[in-house]
Amino acid sequence: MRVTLSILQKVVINYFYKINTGFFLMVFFVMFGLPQNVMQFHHSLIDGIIKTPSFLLAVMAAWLLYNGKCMDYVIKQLIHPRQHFLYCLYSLPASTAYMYLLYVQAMVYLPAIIYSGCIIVVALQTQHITAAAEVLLFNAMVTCLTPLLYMGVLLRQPVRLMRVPRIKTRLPKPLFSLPLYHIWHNNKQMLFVSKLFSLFVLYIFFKLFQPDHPDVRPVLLCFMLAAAVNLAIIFEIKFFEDTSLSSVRNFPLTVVRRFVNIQLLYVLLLLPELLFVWKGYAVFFTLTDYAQLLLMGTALLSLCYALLFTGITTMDGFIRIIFVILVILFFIILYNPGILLELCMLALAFGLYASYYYDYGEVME
Amino acid sequence: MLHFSEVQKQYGAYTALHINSFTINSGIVWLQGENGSGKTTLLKLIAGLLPFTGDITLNNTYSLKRQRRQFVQLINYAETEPLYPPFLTGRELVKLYCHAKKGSITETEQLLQQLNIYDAYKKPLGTYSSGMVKKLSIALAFIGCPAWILLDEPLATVDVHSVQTVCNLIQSRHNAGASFLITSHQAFFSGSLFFTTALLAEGQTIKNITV
Repeated sequence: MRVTLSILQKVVINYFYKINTGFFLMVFFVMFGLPQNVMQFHHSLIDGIIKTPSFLLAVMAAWLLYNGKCMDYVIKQLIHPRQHFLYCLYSLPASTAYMYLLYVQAMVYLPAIIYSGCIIVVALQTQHITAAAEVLLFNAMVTCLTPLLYMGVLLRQPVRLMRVPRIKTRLPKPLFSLPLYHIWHNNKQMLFVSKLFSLFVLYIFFKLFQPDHPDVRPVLLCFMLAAAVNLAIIFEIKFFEDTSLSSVRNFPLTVVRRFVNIQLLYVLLLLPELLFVWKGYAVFFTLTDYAQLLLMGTALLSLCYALLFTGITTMDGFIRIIFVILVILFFIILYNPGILLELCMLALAFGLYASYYYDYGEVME
Repeated sequence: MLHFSEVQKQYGAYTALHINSFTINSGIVWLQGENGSGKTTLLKLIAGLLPFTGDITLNNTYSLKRQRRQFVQLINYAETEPLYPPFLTGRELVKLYCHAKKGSITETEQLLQQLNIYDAYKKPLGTYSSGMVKKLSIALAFIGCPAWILLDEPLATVDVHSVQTVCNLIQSRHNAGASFLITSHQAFFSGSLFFTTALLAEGQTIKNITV
Protein backbone atom coordinates (compact mmCIF):
# COMPACT_ATOMS: atom_id res chain seq x y z
CA MET A 1 0.00 0.00 0.00
CA ARG A 2 2.74 2.43 0.97
CA VAL A 3 4.70 1.59 -2.16
CA THR A 4 1.72 2.34 -4.39
CA LEU A 5 1.03 5.63 -2.65
CA SER A 6 4.69 6.56 -2.89
CA ILE A 7 4.73 5.84 -6.64
CA LEU A 8 1.54 7.85 -7.18
CA GLN A 9 3.02 10.66 -5.12
CA LYS A 10 6.18 10.71 -7.24
CA VAL A 11 4.81 10.23 -10.75
CA VAL A 12 1.49 12.08 -10.52
CA ILE A 13 1.24 14.44 -7.54
CA ASN A 14 4.74 15.89 -7.24
CA TYR A 15 4.94 16.47 -10.97
CA PHE A 16 1.63 18.37 -10.85
CA TYR A 17 3.04 20.89 -8.38
CA LYS A 18 6.32 21.05 -10.28
CA ILE A 19 4.80 22.00 -13.61
CA ASN A 20 2.34 24.40 -11.94
CA THR A 21 4.93 26.17 -9.78
CA GLY A 22 4.36 29.41 -11.65
CA PHE A 23 0.60 29.26 -11.24
CA PHE A 24 0.78 28.59 -7.49
CA LEU A 25 3.49 31.21 -6.94
CA MET A 26 1.34 33.78 -8.67
CA VAL A 27 -1.80 32.82 -6.69
CA PHE A 28 0.20 32.88 -3.45
CA PHE A 29 1.66 36.29 -4.28
CA VAL A 30 -1.76 37.77 -5.05
CA MET A 31 -3.51 36.22 -2.05
CA PHE A 32 -0.78 36.58 0.58
CA GLY A 33 1.95 38.88 -0.72
CA LEU A 34 -0.04 41.78 -2.05
CA PRO A 35 -2.56 42.64 0.74
CA GLN A 36 -1.06 44.92 3.40
CA ASN A 37 -2.92 43.15 6.20
CA VAL A 38 -3.19 39.51 5.14
CA MET A 39 -5.43 38.37 7.99
CA GLN A 40 -7.84 41.26 7.57
CA PHE A 41 -7.95 40.76 3.79
CA HIS A 42 -8.81 37.08 4.06
CA HIS A 43 -11.28 37.67 6.85
CA SER A 44 -13.12 40.21 4.65
CA LEU A 45 -12.91 37.86 1.69
CA ILE A 46 -14.30 34.88 3.62
CA ASP A 47 -16.92 37.13 5.22
CA GLY A 48 -18.04 38.14 1.73
CA ILE A 49 -18.12 34.52 0.57
CA ILE A 50 -20.30 33.26 3.43
CA LYS A 51 -22.66 36.25 3.46
CA THR A 52 -23.16 36.75 -0.28
CA PRO A 53 -24.65 33.77 -2.17
CA SER A 54 -23.57 35.12 -5.59
CA PHE A 55 -19.99 35.51 -4.36
CA LEU A 56 -20.08 31.96 -2.96
CA LEU A 57 -21.32 30.72 -6.34
CA ALA A 58 -18.46 32.54 -8.07
CA VAL A 59 -15.94 30.93 -5.70
CA MET A 60 -17.50 27.49 -6.32
CA ALA A 61 -17.15 28.12 -10.06
CA ALA A 62 -13.48 28.92 -9.50
CA TRP A 63 -13.03 25.69 -7.52
CA LEU A 64 -14.75 23.75 -10.29
CA LEU A 65 -12.45 25.29 -12.82
CA TYR A 66 -9.41 24.44 -10.71
CA ASN A 67 -10.76 20.90 -10.42
CA GLY A 68 -11.06 20.86 -14.21
CA LYS A 69 -7.37 21.68 -14.37
CA CYS A 70 -6.61 18.87 -11.89
CA MET A 71 -8.76 16.38 -13.81
CA ASP A 72 -7.20 17.32 -17.10
CA TYR A 73 -3.74 16.77 -15.65
CA VAL A 74 -4.48 13.47 -13.86
CA ILE A 75 -6.30 11.98 -16.86
CA LYS A 76 -3.49 12.99 -19.22
CA GLN A 77 -1.04 11.32 -16.83
CA LEU A 78 -3.11 8.15 -16.59
CA ILE A 79 -3.32 7.76 -20.37
CA HIS A 80 0.24 8.86 -21.07
CA PRO A 81 2.29 5.97 -22.54
CA ARG A 82 4.97 6.58 -19.90
CA GLN A 83 2.39 5.89 -17.16
CA HIS A 84 0.85 2.77 -18.73
CA PHE A 85 2.08 0.70 -15.81
CA LEU A 86 -0.60 2.39 -13.68
CA TYR A 87 -3.23 0.28 -15.43
CA CYS A 88 -2.20 -2.43 -12.99
CA LEU A 89 -4.20 -0.47 -10.40
CA TYR A 90 -7.37 -1.72 -11.96
CA SER A 91 -6.48 -5.30 -11.21
CA LEU A 92 -6.90 -4.36 -7.54
CA PRO A 93 -10.31 -4.55 -5.85
CA ALA A 94 -12.40 -1.59 -7.01
CA SER A 95 -12.60 -0.09 -3.52
CA THR A 96 -8.79 -0.18 -3.11
CA ALA A 97 -8.20 1.34 -6.55
CA TYR A 98 -10.78 4.03 -5.72
CA MET A 99 -8.98 4.85 -2.45
CA TYR A 100 -5.68 5.29 -4.29
CA LEU A 101 -7.27 7.60 -6.82
CA LEU A 102 -9.08 9.47 -4.04
CA TYR A 103 -5.67 10.10 -2.50
CA VAL A 104 -4.39 11.49 -5.82
CA GLN A 105 -7.46 13.73 -6.18
CA ALA A 106 -7.23 14.98 -2.58
CA MET A 107 -3.56 15.82 -3.01
CA VAL A 108 -3.90 17.78 -6.25
CA TYR A 109 -7.11 19.48 -5.02
CA LEU A 110 -5.44 20.23 -1.65
CA PRO A 111 -5.18 24.05 -1.99
CA ALA A 112 -8.96 24.29 -2.49
CA ILE A 113 -9.58 21.87 0.41
CA ILE A 114 -7.41 23.94 2.77
CA TYR A 115 -9.06 27.24 1.86
CA SER A 116 -12.54 25.74 2.03
CA GLY A 117 -11.60 24.40 5.49
CA CYS A 118 -10.82 27.96 6.60
CA ILE A 119 -14.14 29.17 5.19
CA ILE A 120 -16.02 26.43 7.06
CA VAL A 121 -14.29 27.31 10.37
CA VAL A 122 -15.11 31.02 9.99
CA ALA A 123 -18.69 30.22 8.90
CA LEU A 124 -19.24 28.00 11.95
CA GLN A 125 -17.78 30.66 14.29
CA THR A 126 -20.11 33.30 12.86
CA GLN A 127 -23.16 30.96 12.93
CA HIS A 128 -23.47 30.74 9.12
CA ILE A 129 -24.28 27.04 9.27
CA THR A 130 -25.91 26.86 5.82
CA ALA A 131 -22.90 28.41 4.09
CA ALA A 132 -20.55 26.06 5.98
CA ALA A 133 -22.66 23.05 4.94
CA GLU A 134 -22.75 24.20 1.32
CA VAL A 135 -18.97 24.62 1.15
CA LEU A 136 -18.40 21.27 2.88
CA LEU A 137 -20.86 19.38 0.69
CA PHE A 138 -19.60 20.96 -2.51
CA ASN A 139 -15.95 20.16 -1.90
CA ALA A 140 -16.72 16.67 -0.54
CA MET A 141 -18.63 15.93 -3.75
CA VAL A 142 -15.85 17.28 -5.94
CA THR A 143 -13.21 15.30 -4.05
CA CYS A 144 -15.14 12.02 -3.86
CA LEU A 145 -16.82 11.95 -7.28
CA THR A 146 -13.85 12.94 -9.42
CA PRO A 147 -11.89 9.71 -8.72
CA LEU A 148 -14.81 7.79 -10.29
CA LEU A 149 -13.91 9.54 -13.53
CA TYR A 150 -10.30 8.42 -13.14
CA MET A 151 -11.56 4.84 -12.66
CA GLY A 152 -13.26 5.15 -16.05
CA VAL A 153 -9.97 6.26 -17.57
CA LEU A 154 -8.21 3.25 -16.11
CA LEU A 155 -10.90 1.11 -17.75
CA ARG A 156 -9.88 2.83 -20.99
CA GLN A 157 -13.28 4.39 -21.51
CA PRO A 158 -13.06 7.59 -23.55
CA VAL A 159 -13.51 10.68 -21.40
CA ARG A 160 -14.06 14.22 -22.66
CA LEU A 161 -13.61 16.79 -19.93
CA MET A 162 -14.65 19.95 -21.60
CA ARG A 163 -16.70 20.15 -24.71
CA VAL A 164 -15.79 23.62 -25.79
CA PRO A 165 -17.21 24.15 -29.26
CA ARG A 166 -14.68 24.04 -32.07
CA ILE A 167 -14.45 27.13 -34.20
CA LYS A 168 -15.89 25.86 -37.47
CA THR A 169 -16.56 29.25 -38.99
CA ARG A 170 -14.19 30.41 -41.66
CA LEU A 171 -12.40 32.86 -39.40
CA PRO A 172 -9.23 34.20 -40.92
CA LYS A 173 -6.07 32.75 -39.41
CA PRO A 174 -3.32 35.31 -39.94
CA LEU A 175 0.17 34.22 -38.92
CA PHE A 176 0.17 36.21 -35.66
CA SER A 177 -3.02 34.53 -34.44
CA LEU A 178 -1.91 30.90 -34.88
CA PRO A 179 -0.51 30.49 -31.34
CA LEU A 180 -3.85 31.62 -29.92
CA TYR A 181 -5.71 29.08 -32.08
CA HIS A 182 -3.30 26.46 -30.76
CA ILE A 183 -4.12 27.41 -27.14
CA TRP A 184 -7.83 27.37 -27.95
CA HIS A 185 -7.65 23.90 -29.50
CA ASN A 186 -5.14 22.17 -27.24
CA ASN A 187 -4.97 24.05 -23.92
CA LYS A 188 -8.52 25.17 -23.21
CA GLN A 189 -8.22 24.51 -19.49
CA MET A 190 -5.06 26.62 -19.29
CA LEU A 191 -6.79 29.43 -21.19
CA PHE A 192 -9.95 29.38 -19.07
CA VAL A 193 -8.15 29.09 -15.74
CA SER A 194 -5.76 31.92 -16.64
CA LYS A 195 -8.52 34.19 -17.87
CA LEU A 196 -10.81 33.45 -14.94
CA PHE A 197 -8.03 34.08 -12.45
CA SER A 198 -6.83 37.29 -14.09
CA LEU A 199 -10.41 38.61 -14.26
CA PHE A 200 -10.91 37.54 -10.64
CA VAL A 201 -7.85 39.61 -9.64
CA LEU A 202 -9.31 42.66 -11.40
CA TYR A 203 -12.79 42.03 -9.96
CA ILE A 204 -11.48 41.82 -6.39
CA PHE A 205 -9.46 44.98 -6.94
CA PHE A 206 -12.45 46.98 -8.17
CA LYS A 207 -14.60 45.55 -5.38
CA LEU A 208 -12.25 46.26 -2.48
CA PHE A 209 -10.35 49.39 -3.54
CA GLN A 210 -12.19 52.70 -3.54
CA PRO A 211 -9.92 55.62 -4.58
CA ASP A 212 -10.55 59.26 -3.72
CA HIS A 213 -9.42 60.41 -7.15
CA PRO A 214 -8.28 58.65 -10.36
CA ASP A 215 -4.73 57.37 -9.89
CA VAL A 216 -3.39 54.95 -12.47
CA ARG A 217 -0.75 53.37 -10.21
CA PRO A 218 -2.93 50.94 -8.19
CA VAL A 219 -4.85 49.79 -11.25
CA LEU A 220 -1.57 49.56 -13.19
CA LEU A 221 -0.12 47.26 -10.54
CA CYS A 222 -3.26 45.16 -10.56
CA PHE A 223 -3.33 45.01 -14.37
CA MET A 224 0.34 44.04 -14.39
CA LEU A 225 -0.50 41.07 -12.15
CA ALA A 226 -3.53 40.16 -14.27
CA ALA A 227 -1.32 40.17 -17.36
CA ALA A 228 1.33 38.13 -15.55
CA VAL A 229 -1.27 35.40 -14.90
CA ASN A 230 -0.96 34.66 -18.63
CA LEU A 231 2.69 33.63 -18.31
CA ALA A 232 1.96 29.91 -18.64
CA ILE A 233 0.26 30.71 -21.95
CA ILE A 234 3.35 32.63 -23.12
CA PHE A 235 5.52 29.61 -22.30
CA GLU A 236 3.14 27.33 -24.20
CA ILE A 237 3.11 29.73 -27.17
CA LYS A 238 6.90 29.60 -27.34
CA PHE A 239 6.86 25.81 -27.20
CA PHE A 240 4.27 25.70 -29.99
CA GLU A 241 6.34 28.03 -32.15
CA ASP A 242 9.45 25.92 -31.60
CA THR A 243 7.71 22.68 -32.54
CA SER A 244 4.96 23.44 -35.05
CA LEU A 245 5.93 26.81 -36.50
CA SER A 246 9.68 26.33 -36.80
CA SER A 247 9.54 26.86 -40.58
CA VAL A 248 8.27 30.42 -40.05
CA ARG A 249 11.90 31.43 -39.57
CA ASN A 250 12.32 30.66 -43.25
CA PHE A 251 9.65 33.26 -44.13
CA PRO A 252 11.07 36.49 -45.54
CA LEU A 253 9.86 38.72 -42.69
CA THR A 254 11.86 41.45 -41.01
CA VAL A 255 12.43 41.35 -37.25
CA VAL A 256 10.30 44.48 -36.88
CA ARG A 257 7.40 42.80 -38.68
CA ARG A 258 7.76 39.73 -36.49
CA PHE A 259 7.72 41.93 -33.38
CA VAL A 260 4.60 43.74 -34.59
CA ASN A 261 2.96 40.32 -34.99
CA ILE A 262 3.82 39.58 -31.35
CA GLN A 263 2.16 42.84 -30.26
CA LEU A 264 -1.00 41.99 -32.21
CA LEU A 265 -1.08 38.53 -30.63
CA TYR A 266 -0.78 39.91 -27.10
CA VAL A 267 -3.45 42.56 -27.63
CA LEU A 268 -5.72 39.71 -28.74
CA LEU A 269 -4.69 37.56 -25.77
CA LEU A 270 -5.32 40.38 -23.28
CA LEU A 271 -8.62 41.46 -24.84
CA PRO A 272 -10.80 40.05 -21.99
CA GLU A 273 -8.72 41.89 -19.36
CA LEU A 274 -8.66 45.09 -21.44
CA LEU A 275 -12.43 45.05 -21.82
CA PHE A 276 -13.01 44.21 -18.16
CA VAL A 277 -10.68 46.90 -16.84
CA TRP A 278 -12.67 49.51 -18.76
CA LYS A 279 -15.22 49.20 -15.99
CA GLY A 280 -12.87 51.26 -13.81
CA TYR A 281 -12.74 54.18 -16.27
CA ALA A 282 -13.24 57.64 -14.68
CA VAL A 283 -13.15 56.28 -11.12
CA PHE A 284 -9.78 54.56 -11.24
CA PHE A 285 -8.09 56.05 -14.31
CA THR A 286 -8.47 58.55 -17.13
CA LEU A 287 -8.67 57.92 -20.87
CA THR A 288 -4.94 58.54 -21.44
CA ASP A 289 -4.14 56.11 -18.62
CA TYR A 290 -5.98 53.40 -20.55
CA ALA A 291 -3.32 53.52 -23.26
CA GLN A 292 -0.74 53.06 -20.52
CA LEU A 293 -2.57 49.98 -19.24
CA LEU A 294 -2.69 48.50 -22.73
CA LEU A 295 1.02 49.15 -23.20
CA MET A 296 1.85 47.69 -19.77
CA GLY A 297 0.09 44.44 -20.70
CA THR A 298 1.68 43.99 -24.11
CA ALA A 299 5.10 45.26 -23.01
CA LEU A 300 5.23 42.91 -20.02
CA LEU A 301 4.20 39.88 -22.06
CA SER A 302 6.60 40.83 -24.88
CA LEU A 303 9.43 41.15 -22.39
CA CYS A 304 8.61 37.74 -20.88
CA TYR A 305 8.42 36.22 -24.35
CA ALA A 306 11.71 37.81 -25.44
CA LEU A 307 13.41 36.42 -22.32
CA LEU A 308 12.57 32.91 -23.53
CA PHE A 309 15.04 33.44 -26.39
CA THR A 310 17.92 34.11 -24.02
CA GLY A 311 18.46 30.52 -22.96
CA ILE A 312 15.67 29.97 -20.42
CA THR A 313 14.26 26.56 -21.25
CA THR A 314 12.38 25.52 -18.11
CA MET A 315 9.23 26.87 -16.51
CA ASP A 316 10.97 27.07 -13.12
CA GLY A 317 13.73 29.34 -14.44
CA PHE A 318 11.19 31.41 -16.34
CA ILE A 319 9.00 31.98 -13.28
CA ARG A 320 11.95 32.92 -11.08
CA ILE A 321 13.16 35.66 -13.43
CA ILE A 322 9.64 36.98 -14.04
CA PHE A 323 9.05 37.14 -10.30
CA VAL A 324 12.13 39.34 -9.90
CA ILE A 325 10.97 41.57 -12.78
CA LEU A 326 7.52 41.97 -11.22
CA VAL A 327 9.02 42.99 -7.88
CA ILE A 328 11.26 45.57 -9.60
CA LEU A 329 8.31 46.90 -11.64
CA PHE A 330 6.24 47.12 -8.45
CA PHE A 331 8.67 49.61 -6.93
CA ILE A 332 9.19 51.57 -10.16
CA ILE A 333 5.43 52.01 -10.62
CA LEU A 334 5.12 53.44 -7.10
CA TYR A 335 7.35 56.34 -8.25
CA ASN A 336 4.90 57.01 -11.09
CA PRO A 337 7.26 57.15 -14.09
CA GLY A 338 4.30 57.42 -16.49
CA ILE A 339 4.22 55.87 -19.93
CA LEU A 340 8.02 56.04 -20.11
CA LEU A 341 8.21 52.79 -18.13
CA GLU A 342 6.11 50.86 -20.65
CA LEU A 343 8.05 52.34 -23.58
CA CYS A 344 11.35 51.31 -21.97
CA MET A 345 9.98 47.79 -21.35
CA LEU A 346 8.87 47.56 -24.98
CA ALA A 347 12.25 48.80 -26.20
CA LEU A 348 14.03 46.29 -23.98
CA ALA A 349 11.76 43.49 -25.24
CA PHE A 350 12.48 44.45 -28.86
CA GLY A 351 16.22 44.71 -28.17
CA LEU A 352 16.31 41.23 -26.65
CA TYR A 353 14.11 39.76 -29.37
CA ALA A 354 16.10 41.31 -32.24
CA SER A 355 19.40 40.23 -30.68
CA TYR A 356 18.47 36.66 -29.87
CA TYR A 357 15.79 35.59 -32.40
CA TYR A 358 18.12 34.27 -35.08
CA ASP A 359 20.69 33.01 -32.58
CA TYR A 360 18.16 30.98 -30.69
CA GLY A 361 18.51 27.22 -31.06
CA GLU A 362 17.51 25.83 -27.66
CA VAL A 363 14.92 23.17 -27.05
CA MET A 364 12.30 24.00 -24.47
CA GLU A 365 11.28 21.46 -21.84
CA MET B 1 25.32 28.90 -56.38
CA LEU B 2 25.67 28.61 -52.63
CA HIS B 3 28.97 29.54 -51.04
CA PHE B 4 29.91 28.60 -47.48
CA SER B 5 32.63 30.51 -45.70
CA GLU B 6 33.86 29.52 -42.23
CA VAL B 7 30.53 27.90 -41.45
CA GLN B 8 30.49 26.20 -38.09
CA LYS B 9 27.57 24.71 -36.21
CA GLN B 10 27.90 23.54 -32.63
CA TYR B 11 25.39 21.67 -30.50
CA GLY B 12 26.77 22.50 -27.08
CA ALA B 13 30.36 21.22 -27.11
CA TYR B 14 29.73 18.98 -30.13
CA THR B 15 30.73 20.33 -33.54
CA ALA B 16 28.17 19.09 -36.04
CA LEU B 17 29.54 20.93 -39.08
CA HIS B 18 32.69 22.84 -39.88
CA ILE B 19 33.01 23.99 -43.49
CA ASN B 20 35.95 26.31 -44.17
CA SER B 21 35.14 27.20 -47.76
CA PHE B 22 32.88 25.32 -50.13
CA THR B 23 30.68 26.10 -53.10
CA ILE B 24 27.63 24.17 -54.25
CA ASN B 25 26.93 24.89 -57.90
CA SER B 26 23.40 25.20 -59.23
CA GLY B 27 21.71 22.04 -60.43
CA ILE B 28 20.13 19.01 -58.82
CA VAL B 29 22.44 18.08 -56.01
CA TRP B 30 22.24 14.82 -54.11
CA LEU B 31 23.60 15.13 -50.58
CA GLN B 32 24.52 11.74 -49.19
CA GLY B 33 25.89 10.65 -45.84
CA GLU B 34 25.36 8.40 -42.88
CA ASN B 35 22.92 9.11 -40.07
CA GLY B 36 24.26 11.89 -37.90
CA SER B 37 26.68 13.15 -40.57
CA GLY B 38 25.07 16.63 -40.57
CA LYS B 39 22.88 16.51 -43.70
CA THR B 40 19.74 17.85 -42.04
CA THR B 41 21.76 20.40 -40.07
CA LEU B 42 23.28 21.68 -43.32
CA LEU B 43 19.86 22.08 -44.92
CA LYS B 44 18.51 23.85 -41.85
CA LEU B 45 21.48 26.23 -41.85
CA ILE B 46 20.83 27.17 -45.47
CA ALA B 47 17.10 27.63 -44.76
CA GLY B 48 17.97 30.00 -41.91
CA LEU B 49 16.39 27.79 -39.26
CA LEU B 50 19.45 27.33 -37.08
CA PRO B 51 22.01 29.78 -35.72
CA PHE B 52 25.64 29.26 -36.77
CA THR B 53 28.92 31.11 -37.13
CA GLY B 54 30.31 32.05 -40.54
CA ASP B 55 28.19 32.96 -43.54
CA ILE B 56 26.43 31.51 -46.57
CA THR B 57 26.01 33.56 -49.74
CA LEU B 58 23.61 32.98 -52.60
CA ASN B 59 24.81 33.66 -56.17
CA ASN B 60 27.48 36.01 -54.73
CA THR B 61 24.63 38.46 -54.13
CA TYR B 62 22.80 37.79 -50.93
CA SER B 63 24.38 36.93 -47.61
CA LEU B 64 22.29 34.99 -45.10
CA LYS B 65 23.73 37.06 -42.28
CA ARG B 66 23.49 40.49 -43.92
CA GLN B 67 20.53 40.24 -46.31
CA ARG B 68 18.54 37.60 -44.51
CA ARG B 69 15.08 38.51 -45.84
CA GLN B 70 16.19 38.52 -49.49
CA PHE B 71 18.17 35.31 -48.93
CA VAL B 72 15.34 33.25 -47.39
CA GLN B 73 12.90 34.59 -49.98
CA LEU B 74 14.88 32.53 -52.50
CA ILE B 75 15.30 29.40 -50.36
CA ASN B 76 12.47 26.94 -49.72
CA TYR B 77 12.78 23.96 -47.45
CA ALA B 78 10.84 20.75 -46.80
CA GLU B 79 11.70 18.93 -43.58
CA THR B 80 12.13 15.18 -43.12
CA GLU B 81 9.32 14.94 -40.61
CA PRO B 82 7.30 18.13 -41.05
CA LEU B 83 5.16 19.25 -38.15
CA TYR B 84 2.34 21.72 -38.71
CA PRO B 85 -0.42 23.04 -36.44
CA PRO B 86 -3.06 20.28 -36.57
CA PHE B 87 -5.97 22.73 -36.41
CA LEU B 88 -5.04 24.37 -39.71
CA THR B 89 -6.47 23.01 -42.95
CA GLY B 90 -4.23 22.31 -45.92
CA ARG B 91 -5.80 25.26 -47.69
CA GLU B 92 -5.03 27.64 -44.82
CA LEU B 93 -1.41 26.52 -44.73
CA VAL B 94 -1.07 26.92 -48.50
CA LYS B 95 -2.54 30.44 -48.26
CA LEU B 96 -0.10 31.30 -45.45
CA TYR B 97 2.91 30.07 -47.44
CA CYS B 98 1.73 31.69 -50.68
CA HIS B 99 1.35 34.99 -48.82
CA ALA B 100 4.82 34.75 -47.27
CA LYS B 101 6.63 33.37 -50.31
CA LYS B 102 4.63 35.35 -52.88
CA GLY B 103 3.41 32.24 -54.62
CA SER B 104 0.34 31.25 -56.61
CA ILE B 105 -2.44 29.36 -54.79
CA THR B 106 -3.75 27.93 -58.06
CA GLU B 107 -0.36 26.48 -59.00
CA THR B 108 0.01 24.93 -55.55
CA GLU B 109 -3.46 23.40 -55.81
CA GLN B 110 -2.43 21.83 -59.11
CA LEU B 111 0.64 20.39 -57.39
CA LEU B 112 -1.54 18.90 -54.67
CA GLN B 113 -3.75 17.34 -57.33
CA GLN B 114 -0.70 15.75 -58.95
CA LEU B 115 0.35 14.41 -55.56
CA ASN B 116 -3.15 13.02 -54.95
CA ILE B 117 -3.87 14.91 -51.74
CA TYR B 118 -6.19 17.59 -53.07
CA ASP B 119 -9.23 15.73 -51.68
CA ALA B 120 -7.97 16.48 -48.17
CA TYR B 121 -7.18 20.10 -49.02
CA LYS B 122 -9.95 21.56 -46.88
CA LYS B 123 -9.50 19.15 -43.97
CA PRO B 124 -7.51 19.90 -40.79
CA LEU B 125 -3.91 18.70 -40.93
CA GLY B 126 -4.54 16.68 -37.77
CA THR B 127 -6.51 14.25 -39.94
CA TYR B 128 -3.65 13.77 -42.46
CA SER B 129 -1.45 10.68 -42.48
CA SER B 130 2.32 11.17 -42.20
CA GLY B 131 2.66 10.52 -45.95
CA MET B 132 0.06 13.17 -46.76
CA VAL B 133 1.81 15.72 -44.51
CA LYS B 134 5.06 14.87 -46.27
CA LYS B 135 3.51 15.43 -49.71
CA LEU B 136 2.02 18.72 -48.53
CA SER B 137 5.43 19.86 -47.26
CA ILE B 138 6.93 19.07 -50.68
CA ALA B 139 4.21 21.10 -52.39
CA LEU B 140 4.84 24.00 -49.97
CA ALA B 141 8.54 23.90 -50.85
CA PHE B 142 7.64 24.59 -54.49
CA ILE B 143 5.70 27.79 -53.68
CA GLY B 144 6.96 31.08 -55.13
CA CYS B 145 10.10 31.51 -57.19
CA PRO B 146 12.88 29.98 -55.07
CA ALA B 147 16.40 29.79 -56.45
CA TRP B 148 17.04 26.70 -54.31
CA ILE B 149 14.63 24.09 -53.01
CA LEU B 150 15.98 22.01 -50.15
CA LEU B 151 14.32 18.62 -49.77
CA ASP B 152 15.21 16.51 -46.76
CA GLU B 153 14.40 12.85 -47.48
CA PRO B 154 11.57 13.74 -49.90
CA LEU B 155 10.75 10.11 -50.60
CA ALA B 156 10.46 9.00 -46.98
CA THR B 157 6.86 7.88 -46.19
CA VAL B 158 5.74 8.80 -49.74
CA ASP B 159 3.84 6.01 -51.53
CA VAL B 160 5.39 4.22 -54.52
CA HIS B 161 3.02 5.82 -57.02
CA SER B 162 3.99 9.32 -55.95
CA VAL B 163 7.76 8.76 -56.17
CA GLN B 164 7.65 9.18 -59.95
CA THR B 165 5.48 12.29 -59.59
CA VAL B 166 7.94 13.87 -57.13
CA CYS B 167 10.86 13.10 -59.47
CA ASN B 168 9.01 14.62 -62.42
CA LEU B 169 8.19 17.73 -60.41
CA ILE B 170 11.82 18.17 -59.40
CA GLN B 171 13.08 17.73 -62.94
CA SER B 172 10.53 20.06 -64.50
CA ARG B 173 11.12 22.74 -61.87
CA HIS B 174 14.84 22.42 -62.44
CA ASN B 175 14.28 22.88 -66.17
CA ALA B 176 12.46 26.11 -65.23
CA GLY B 177 15.55 27.38 -63.42
CA ALA B 178 15.37 26.20 -59.80
CA SER B 179 18.18 24.29 -58.13
CA PHE B 180 17.69 21.44 -55.69
CA LEU B 181 19.66 20.15 -52.75
CA ILE B 182 18.24 16.76 -51.84
CA THR B 183 19.15 14.35 -49.09
CA SER B 184 18.07 10.77 -49.52
CA HIS B 185 19.16 7.40 -48.26
CA GLN B 186 17.30 5.85 -51.16
CA ALA B 187 18.72 5.96 -54.67
CA PHE B 188 16.50 7.80 -57.13
CA PHE B 189 15.74 5.13 -59.71
CA SER B 190 13.55 7.38 -61.75
CA GLY B 191 14.71 7.75 -65.30
CA SER B 192 13.33 11.26 -65.43
CA LEU B 193 15.60 12.71 -62.73
CA PHE B 194 19.26 13.49 -63.41
CA PHE B 195 21.55 14.62 -60.60
CA THR B 196 24.15 17.11 -61.68
CA THR B 197 26.27 16.84 -58.54
CA ALA B 198 26.68 14.49 -55.61
CA LEU B 199 27.97 15.56 -52.23
CA LEU B 200 28.99 13.53 -49.23
CA ALA B 201 28.55 14.75 -45.69
CA GLU B 202 31.34 13.19 -43.67
CA GLY B 203 33.73 14.15 -40.90
CA GLN B 204 31.81 17.32 -40.03
CA THR B 205 32.17 18.74 -43.52
CA ILE B 206 30.97 18.16 -47.08
CA LYS B 207 32.86 17.19 -50.21
CA ASN B 208 32.15 16.47 -53.86
CA ILE B 209 31.92 12.86 -54.98
CA THR B 210 31.27 11.22 -58.32
CA VAL B 211 27.58 10.70 -59.15
